[in-house]
Amino acid sequence: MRIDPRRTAVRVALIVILAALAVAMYHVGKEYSVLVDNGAVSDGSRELPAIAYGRLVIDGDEKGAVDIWEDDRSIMRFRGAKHTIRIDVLDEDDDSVISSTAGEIDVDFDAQQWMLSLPAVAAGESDVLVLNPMRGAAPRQEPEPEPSEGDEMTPGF
Amino acid sequence: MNARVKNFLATHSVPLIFLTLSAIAVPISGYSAGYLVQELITRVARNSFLVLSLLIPIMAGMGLNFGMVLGAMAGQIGLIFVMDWSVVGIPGLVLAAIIALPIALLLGFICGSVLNRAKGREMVTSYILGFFTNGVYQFVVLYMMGPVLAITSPRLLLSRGYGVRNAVALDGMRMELDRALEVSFQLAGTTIRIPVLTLLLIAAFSLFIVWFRRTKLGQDMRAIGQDMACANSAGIPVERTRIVAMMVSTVLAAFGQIIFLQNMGTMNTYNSHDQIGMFSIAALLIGGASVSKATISNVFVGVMLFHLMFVVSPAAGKELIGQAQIGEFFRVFVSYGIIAAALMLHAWRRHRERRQERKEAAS
Repeated sequence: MRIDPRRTAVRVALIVILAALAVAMYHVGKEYSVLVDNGAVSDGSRELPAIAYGRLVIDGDEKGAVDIWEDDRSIMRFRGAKHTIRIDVLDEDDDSVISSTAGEIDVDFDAQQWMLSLPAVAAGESDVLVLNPMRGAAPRQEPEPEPSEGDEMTPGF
Repeated sequence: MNARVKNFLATHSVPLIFLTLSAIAVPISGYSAGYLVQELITRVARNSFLVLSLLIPIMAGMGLNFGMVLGAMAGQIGLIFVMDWSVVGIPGLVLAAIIALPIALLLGFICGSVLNRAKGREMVTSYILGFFTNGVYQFVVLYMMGPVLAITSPRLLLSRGYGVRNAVALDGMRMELDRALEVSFQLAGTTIRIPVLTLLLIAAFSLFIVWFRRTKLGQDMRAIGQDMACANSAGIPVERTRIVAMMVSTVLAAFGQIIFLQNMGTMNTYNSHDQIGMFSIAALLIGGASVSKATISNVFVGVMLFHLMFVVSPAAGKELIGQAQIGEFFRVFVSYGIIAAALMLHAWRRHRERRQERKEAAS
């Protein structure tokens, strides 16, 4: 069988492009569940207090900004690993911005093990992860009846 | 009656019947114009890609491709993996399409190779091949996903540890393509939303088919569709071209199923692909296509008429008889009935042509 090297090269190039596109799509579209914690944190030498009242802006999305209160803890979903995050510390009386801290975060970490500490982000710390108190707990699974061999499983004539 | 009018009525009898039925059923259903327009736009965006994927095998003389369910299965497998990896949004849909691509190519190749051994009986062969592949699909999804094919998400996996759940909510995927570029306006008190990006994709696919027909491969397919023996004598690689037609159709059906499911927002793992072939073929035939000839306009007319009946028939049935279920029965009856009628018409035409040929040969 004769092999046309040009055609083979084109085919290989197409496969490589598709594979690269798949990898790029994976990284752009991968969704991360992140536990966000606004509790006071301490590294032994100093303590970072919780933010009393503030606003969390992710990737500059002002409309989707989230209000945060002291000791708040919630699960947030991030699409893609790298994000810009801004924390505005607000005055509780008139919502005016007292201080604002912006930084970049990489959420590619195991949310079963770690939480993102907002006080650490606001303090401009490089290490912004704290241990998840629920680590090691098995994810809750809702029981589902197994598919039967009934009409749902067979082609409908 | 004028011969031209007679010919027009004979050629367009099916769409005309459905247009008449719709004209009767729409006022009875009581739906507003705005609601019906919105439903039609949604359904055209949801289904047209799937129906368009049927055109290429018809062009190659392989009839109505009941084997498009193979492509739909490939699309679903792509979506299952992407959901397991939590890749969402348009990147998730693109990744699902990339995963589905080699699976659809392989299934299309197998389907084309089998159909080359069943020339003249392509439709029934592809129909049964769909059932066979459905069995393989169910084996893979129900038993191999989990222990053999790494699926780990508890959202997908059955609690027993293997097999994918019956219904999978496509969280983060639902209407992502439709809402990526959406235009809305008011019509008769209803907000009409137009999924521009999905419609652009469908338009691009339609242009691809127009362009494809003019290519060497497209011309070869048309030649094979007209007369396989002559095409073979002319040096066209008949079997290879038929396999290519099947592979292209299967890949496009896989993409179509991904577009369909992102619009629905829920994937019925073991059933979603099942009825796709039947409903897509019925829509194409209602648009005025036949087993041997189909155009892009047949696709859009068919999808609109078929789905208009889908929307209004339950409400019309409820108003007339007091039971919405009658409309459900009606649309299933219509789907199967129209395919049976199209096949009968095709057989009758071929029989008439052969009789005419024999007469001419004798004289």
